Amino acid sequence: MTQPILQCKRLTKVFGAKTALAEVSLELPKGKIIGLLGPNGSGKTTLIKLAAGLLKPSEGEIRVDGNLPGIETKAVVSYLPERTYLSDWMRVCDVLDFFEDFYADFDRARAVDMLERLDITTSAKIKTMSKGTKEKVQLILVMSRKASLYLLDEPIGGVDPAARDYILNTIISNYDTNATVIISTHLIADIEQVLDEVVFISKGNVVLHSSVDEIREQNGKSVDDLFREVFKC
Amino acid sequence: MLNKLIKYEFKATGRTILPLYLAVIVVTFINKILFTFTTDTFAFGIPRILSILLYVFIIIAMFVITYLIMIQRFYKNLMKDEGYLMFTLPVNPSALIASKLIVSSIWTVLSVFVSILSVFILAFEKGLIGNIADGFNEFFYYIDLLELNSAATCVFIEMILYAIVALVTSILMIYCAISLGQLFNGHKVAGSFAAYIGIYMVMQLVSTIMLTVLGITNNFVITTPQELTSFLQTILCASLIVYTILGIVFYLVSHYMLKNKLNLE
Repeated sequence: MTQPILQCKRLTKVFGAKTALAEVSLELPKGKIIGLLGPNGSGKTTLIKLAAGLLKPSEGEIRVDGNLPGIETKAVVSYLPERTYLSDWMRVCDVLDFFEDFYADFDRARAVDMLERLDITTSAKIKTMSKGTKEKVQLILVMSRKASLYLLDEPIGGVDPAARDYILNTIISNYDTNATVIISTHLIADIEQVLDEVVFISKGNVVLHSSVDEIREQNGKSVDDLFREVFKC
Repeated sequence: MLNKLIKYEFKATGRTILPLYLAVIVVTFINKILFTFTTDTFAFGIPRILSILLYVFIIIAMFVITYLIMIQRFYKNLMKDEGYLMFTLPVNPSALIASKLIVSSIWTVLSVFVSILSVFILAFEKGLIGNIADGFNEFFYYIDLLELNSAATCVFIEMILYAIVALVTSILMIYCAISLGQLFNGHKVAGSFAAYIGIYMVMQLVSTIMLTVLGITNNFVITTPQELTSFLQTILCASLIVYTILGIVFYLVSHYMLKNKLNLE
């Protein structure tokens, strides 16, 4: 069996008195598009931040391709946070230089091509961009890397439906068959058709990890319907 | 990777600081021209006063902005949204701290040089360099006369080392305060200020104790130049050791915080 791209063993993260993740054990395979689904505050972002190396586990461990988070994992993880992390003073071309300098797997030509298709010029200043445009630039940067693991935290939350389709197309047409894409969201209906597997997460616990086909066969339901059932208020 | 981080740090800060240096030099020349080619008459009185005020203002602005950029780059680039990018780059936290520390130190030293250059331009007249050389000659003559050559060299080297260590440590103290302050959710700036004041108070306590101990163990009576240099050497040496230790502590605390206790919003 090949090594899982992401592996959590009794992974726990506590913030003060609040437990964000409680002893999560999870193995995610290579070459899949996986939906990390759960209501707000269920621990999705915490799990992604732990995988990206922005947080340290309180207990247990998380491994990316067999390694604890560190320089090696950061070189193969392409992470899209909820925040816009681009520096105001940069132009798009500066950001491209930056990614090219720090990430060996960054494909500049691919990024420029995608930017052109969205009518974003490389001389455009980040400062004058709308929030939605910044998010598009960020997604293009993240998807222009030939990473092993893509961590996309709410990639479609802030953009219009037309751009949403484009973004999803970008994601599925740009990832290598050996790479895994983890998409966290609560807008399930929009992304359901691209997912291979889903992980349902609730109050810091994984309540379901299954392939989308299995869900359809066993429950006769779409992922969206199952989600509404599982997380019924 | 460190050199790439340094490159971007220069890019990010240079676009503010370099125009400032240019402004200082331009204002310096305006003053120089005004004071060389005008006489102290009523007609030129107001332009002269205005240009002096502008000069003082721009020199102060240069130092204040250099200092503010030092703080802002660490806080905004690492602790705010941009931190999501910086801390997911394949680099160690130590490289992030080092790149910012090196670039801030260089800008501070350059700001000092620019202000010295500016004063030199203002004061320049025929024979100035000769006068300065004479002054140094006289100084070294007396050093020689008092047989203080080796001691003076020692004090001189210690003073340069002290300046470097004090600069680096004071920057690391700010980094340390910010990396402690970021733990306070929603009050990160206030937390950083509180941490800074806390560290400052501990430092004052330590240095007071140190000076007291030095005062008790050494009987400083200064009546001769020899006694003065030996006094200076002792004080400088002790300060050098204390600042070096403090600098290392500040670095280690900052590094630990960024590596293990990062708390991005």
